[in-house]
Amino acid sequence: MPIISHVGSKSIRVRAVYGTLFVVLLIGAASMIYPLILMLTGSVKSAADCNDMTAYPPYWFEELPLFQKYAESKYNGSLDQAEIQWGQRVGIWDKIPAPTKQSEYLDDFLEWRKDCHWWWLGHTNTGQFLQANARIFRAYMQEKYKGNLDAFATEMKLPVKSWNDVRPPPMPNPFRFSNQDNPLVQAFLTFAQTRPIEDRAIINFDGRFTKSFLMPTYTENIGEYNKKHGSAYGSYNEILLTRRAPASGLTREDWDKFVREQLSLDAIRIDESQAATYRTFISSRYENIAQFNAKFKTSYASFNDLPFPHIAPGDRLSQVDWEGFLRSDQCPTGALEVYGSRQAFEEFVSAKRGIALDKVPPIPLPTYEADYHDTQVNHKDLRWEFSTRNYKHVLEYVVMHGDGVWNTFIYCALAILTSLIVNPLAAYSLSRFKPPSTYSVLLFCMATMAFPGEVTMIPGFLLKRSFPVAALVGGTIAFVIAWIILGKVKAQMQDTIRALISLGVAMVAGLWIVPVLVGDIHVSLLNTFAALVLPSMANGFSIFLLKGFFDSLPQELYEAAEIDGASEWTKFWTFTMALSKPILAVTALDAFNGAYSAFMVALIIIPDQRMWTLMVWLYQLQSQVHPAVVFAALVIAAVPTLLVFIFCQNLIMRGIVVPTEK
Amino acid sequence: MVESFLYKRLIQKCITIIAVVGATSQVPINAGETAPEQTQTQPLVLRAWGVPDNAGSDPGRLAQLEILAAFRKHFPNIYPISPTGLEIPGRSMDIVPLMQIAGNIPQEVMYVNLRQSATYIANKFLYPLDKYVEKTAGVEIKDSYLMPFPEYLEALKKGKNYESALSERVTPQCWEVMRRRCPYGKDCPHVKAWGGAPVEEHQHTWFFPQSPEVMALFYRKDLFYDAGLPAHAPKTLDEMFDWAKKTTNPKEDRYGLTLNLGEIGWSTLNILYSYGGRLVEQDEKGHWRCAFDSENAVEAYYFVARLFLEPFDNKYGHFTGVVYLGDESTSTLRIAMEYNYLSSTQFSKKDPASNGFGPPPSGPGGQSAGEFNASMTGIYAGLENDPVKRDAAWEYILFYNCPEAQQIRARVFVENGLGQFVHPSLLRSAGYPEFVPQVPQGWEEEYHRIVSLGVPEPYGENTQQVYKYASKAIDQIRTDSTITEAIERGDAVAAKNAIREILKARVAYGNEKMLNILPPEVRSFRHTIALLVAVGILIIFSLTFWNVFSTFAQKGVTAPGGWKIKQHKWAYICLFPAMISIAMWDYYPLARGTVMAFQNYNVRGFSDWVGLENFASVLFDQEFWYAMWVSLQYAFLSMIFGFCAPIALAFLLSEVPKGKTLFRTIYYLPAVLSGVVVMFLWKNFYSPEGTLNQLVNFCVKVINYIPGLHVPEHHTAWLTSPQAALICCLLPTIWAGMGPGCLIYLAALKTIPEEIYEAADIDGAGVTKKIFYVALPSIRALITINFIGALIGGMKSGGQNILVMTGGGPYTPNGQTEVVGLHIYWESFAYLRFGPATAMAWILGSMLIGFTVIQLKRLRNMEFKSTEKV
Repeated sequence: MPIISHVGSKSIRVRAVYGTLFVVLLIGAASMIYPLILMLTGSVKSAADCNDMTAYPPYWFEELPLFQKYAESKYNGSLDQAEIQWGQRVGIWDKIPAPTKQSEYLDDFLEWRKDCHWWWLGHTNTGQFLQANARIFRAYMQEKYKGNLDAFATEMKLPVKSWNDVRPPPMPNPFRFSNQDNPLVQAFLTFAQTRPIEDRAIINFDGRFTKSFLMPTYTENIGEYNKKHGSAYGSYNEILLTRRAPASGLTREDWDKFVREQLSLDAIRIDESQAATYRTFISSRYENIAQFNAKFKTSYASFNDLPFPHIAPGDRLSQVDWEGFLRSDQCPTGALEVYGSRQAFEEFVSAKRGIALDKVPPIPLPTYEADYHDTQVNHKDLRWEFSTRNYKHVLEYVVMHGDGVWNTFIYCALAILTSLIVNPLAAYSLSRFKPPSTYSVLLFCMATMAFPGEVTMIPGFLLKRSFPVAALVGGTIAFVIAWIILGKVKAQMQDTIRALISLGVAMVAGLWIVPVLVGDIHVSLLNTFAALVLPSMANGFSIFLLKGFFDSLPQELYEAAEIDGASEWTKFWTFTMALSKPILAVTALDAFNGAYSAFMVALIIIPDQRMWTLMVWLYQLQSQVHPAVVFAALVIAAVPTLLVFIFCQNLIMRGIVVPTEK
Repeated sequence: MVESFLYKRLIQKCITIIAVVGATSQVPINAGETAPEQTQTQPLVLRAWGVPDNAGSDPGRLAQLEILAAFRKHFPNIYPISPTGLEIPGRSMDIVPLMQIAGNIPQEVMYVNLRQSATYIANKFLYPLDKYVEKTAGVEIKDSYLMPFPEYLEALKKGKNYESALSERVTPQCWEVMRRRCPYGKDCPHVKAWGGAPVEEHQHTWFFPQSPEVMALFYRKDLFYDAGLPAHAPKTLDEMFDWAKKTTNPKEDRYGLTLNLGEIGWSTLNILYSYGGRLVEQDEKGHWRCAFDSENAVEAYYFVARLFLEPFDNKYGHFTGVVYLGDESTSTLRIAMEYNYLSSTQFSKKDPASNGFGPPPSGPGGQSAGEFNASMTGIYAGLENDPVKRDAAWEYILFYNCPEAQQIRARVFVENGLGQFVHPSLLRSAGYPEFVPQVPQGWEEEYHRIVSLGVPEPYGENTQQVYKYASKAIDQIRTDSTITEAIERGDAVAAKNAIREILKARVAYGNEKMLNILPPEVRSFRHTIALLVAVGILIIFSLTFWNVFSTFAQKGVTAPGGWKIKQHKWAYICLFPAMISIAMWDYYPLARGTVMAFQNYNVRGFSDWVGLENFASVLFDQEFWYAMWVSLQYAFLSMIFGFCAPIALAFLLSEVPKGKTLFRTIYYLPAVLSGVVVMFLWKNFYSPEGTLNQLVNFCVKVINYIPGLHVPEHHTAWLTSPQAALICCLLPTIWAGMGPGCLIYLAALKTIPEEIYEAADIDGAGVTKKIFYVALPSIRALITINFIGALIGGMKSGGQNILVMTGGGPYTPNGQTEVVGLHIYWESFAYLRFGPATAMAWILGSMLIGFTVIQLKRLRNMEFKSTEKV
């Protein structure tokens, strides 16, 4: 603070200057932090609320945004699913309203849903987000198979290659056939039983009827529907799928077509009266009973012995026949009955309240109200889950690719180590021995800075691809031999000429003689740490800075050491390096930053995933997930760099060397 | 316990590393695969496109895994592996196959898209598939390479398997792309190998198509619902425009339509096609020429211009333009409609629950022609002497999309809830009829119609740049003030006239570039100039080096007589690792790269010498010089802001009496994000609904409280604004670099002894005087060095960052942010013109080397001190 004078520091003018200073700095600081805060906030959001550019996530404090997020999560980000299961259109996540009135059947529903068997587990999406139940399912399977992916893959008949691929089966849509033959589905259903009741999305067949059948057929405009059916509905929400086919007309045709072709088989019953027709139908499908028995591994004597499944059988093979019968003309519309979630619920209400079933009015399932109710009850858990979900997603991903962390560690360590050996060594020799060629050497080190890096990309890659060991070793040996021989033969020769001649010999040897004699031995550095570390090992500017710093160390020290008979090593290690810790820290920090954040290299020189670093994995993650998760990944990736800076701040500050004119 | 475990792990790892380092190139580079199990016969490792890697878990990938398993069942001896793991979205991908070819680890089954196809053929990357196709069709055709295409197809159709194996999979449009002129001409080794006599003009089949991809218009169900629109895609372009207007509401980050602005020439292709226009046409000589100046094209681009510029009112307010002017990846964004491919890749990207799709809307003539594309696969030319592997590659190509594979794909998609996106006929044949009603009605017929009407994207020789020319034309159209005003007035005639003029000029320029026909006298003149420049560069370099060496030699103290190697034996030995490393990794690639400047470089090794041709073309390349100009601007701006900001900050920080460390930490915070991440973050802020506009609008609101004032809200797309784009590309670097940058000045300011200030105080100097006469002169040395460093950096860098931000655009008509580094990047990796790219690098390098020398000279007179104070 020397520029602003101390004298009269209490005067108004000085205070005003300080005030301005603070204001400017604060505004600057805000502009530094604000983008980072947006990043942090963004990292706890999802598709339902990412539109909101507030500095805090609204769902932390308000109920409605929480409910919208809950719905998004429960119905796996699918508006269609939410609309079907709620039996009403909501259109857009962040505009879903809170329920206006409480359904009088809500409590009954909450009680009934425990035993309802038309449901699918929610929160199971793994696409853009890794939702709670998907995450828990993965952990559940990992535990079940004790981390043995191969055992899992064999049992599930899935060619998965990492636990990342393990995800819950998506909700069958349409829910027509049961897919319980599938081992993954079976495992999932067992798992689903262990999850809380409120995570279950109750299937609403009325919603399915209107949303996936009536609307596509008669447009979304209810007026069109009313015109064709002569009805007077206010909206599609009012149309329910009746238990038996309506008496006649277009509504009956709709009902018939939907039930026969699209409705889930487990919500359909065929009257017992159709047993004979069914057997005839089946017999027409097979040449004889033997063929049937062979297919189903049964032993019926004739088709007449077949039992008639009043409701759809459980296995897919039999279901196909049953469904074929359902579709056929032989099965009359009058014999069909819809018995799904709403019908079961109405029976429950009737039994509970003691009202005759035919007196119970049609009760649209209060799924929407129930979901809102669940949000209110579980708000704490939900807020915690939504705030941590993206981070858990990234951390799981990182843990799953634990080798990546390890590789990063090795790579960073090697990068730091090599740059801390090569550069100080070079700088020390220039600073201590002051060879006359010092500035030529420095120029040599720094001249390539003027060239854009794009030129060297391909040749650099070729070099990594086939690193000429033989030529390099041969050349070096040839150089040394030539050097010694020249020294012996003509002692007076100028060093420059001697070096040039030796270099010539080395090149001839390396490029021609050695390949001819021992063959062109190349080593591929691809997929090795060498390819990452070696090219950035020596850094001209770093050498230059270090040399400058070493020059500034007190010469008396070396003189004293000389007198004490200290070896060159002691002088290098015990004095120079020990005194230069701060600047070495800066060199190390640069090496760390470079190694830690490099990811493009992996694309080309490290195709082997076993060698990928954390950054590469995170970059890979980025292309698959929602931007909110990407933000979380960025935050996590920034942690090591941040820690390094915070803890090494003072060391770094001391390691800065400032050039001054001599 | 833990430590010992770590130790073990460390030792294990070290052994692995050493083992891997020592491994020779014979080991196949297999991405994460376990080594193929030893069977009795040697397993055949095939690097093939389409083999899923270990990462990602979308249904498309799962399907690939199952298809691969099925393939392995059929061909247990062939072991396809993934050639590369990482997939980086966007243009960086262009580099990968090239590098792989250069490094001789290519995809042996190569993926080629239409627009790259000419480059791949010309660069001799591919092995002709004629014999394989004929074998698959079950017919042997003699000298098929001489046959004109229709005749060849007739001959193929005679094959007994043609109907079953080929007719379904290869649509007529594919044939014209697959069957192309052979680049080897008279020396064709393939024809020779088949026992024929090659002639200059002959054709081969180079690719085999996998899934055809057609364009569809995707729409968001929720936005359509909210705007009261029906749940199907618009039928005509006018309807699309109308619906886009109804769904646009920038206040809520909603837009009617998105077009990929980086490649708008490509993203507006469907509109052009629907209007009956074409980007390129083949003239009577068979040369491809730009054709986007036809009347149909004028109409089409007038429509495009209206999408951007037409003002309108809807229930949300008054707006201009329905197209989103930012990057679609922003999380906060909702866009109602988007053109995209309907193909196997599309399945996994769009959520069928919230997106619907329909055929591309039709133009005024009632035709709805979309872009036709196909994933083409070919066999790498390097396999020409390895018939066994080649056959394996062909089996893989054939299997990849065969009926069995398709059924597997259909099943996996259905099982993963994507039944809606599977082709209906495939659903039926795979046994999932119940999903058919979910596919949008009428789509099946539409799909066939669109495939038959689809126009392939430009694929001919030299046409890979045509998108660039068209993109530039459209950029120019939508930023042209005459057109903007005409559209605002609703004056169609005036707007179309202006558009016509722009298109004519662009087409003329494009044709000149594409056909590259120069009169001989111009050519020889250019060569003379190039020679002069090359000599000039040589002289500059010799002079500078001689100058540097002589100055340093004089000052280099001690006696003359060379390097005194004997005396300083240890010094040189210690220097050795650093020197060899720099020579190896900096000079050697530079030298090897330089050779390319005089070559027509081909990564497969068919390079030929062209002398100064590259220099000649670069020196007269207007785009290069414009890039140079942009680089100058960029360097200038980064001098003003990037260079000065840290100094100013250092002054502030050193003066602030309290909270110095806190502020220092805060200003350093942005630096913890790595480079590209910063770019992505800021890209979001610049979008029309981004933070920057929010801040501006906040100020606007405040101003509007003043009675009598009304300022409209801003929804500027900063990155596409010709005036702001360059500075916007620079800002993030300043933001992230300010904190770390100021540290060194902060340290330097501390070295100034307080007494000097006190003396100045006594002399009555004010704050300004103290800054300019005391502080700044004291740290002059540092400032000078950093100044030159920043100048060099500013001139040559920026490329990679700008690639992420704008890709070089907006083009009005020249790339407003295309700096030299980026230009070189495009030339080399997108267009494979390494020769000219290297020439450019040398021209730039020779301009900058002088500064490096000045910097070095200055540095020689300086000493470095650590400040040693906290």
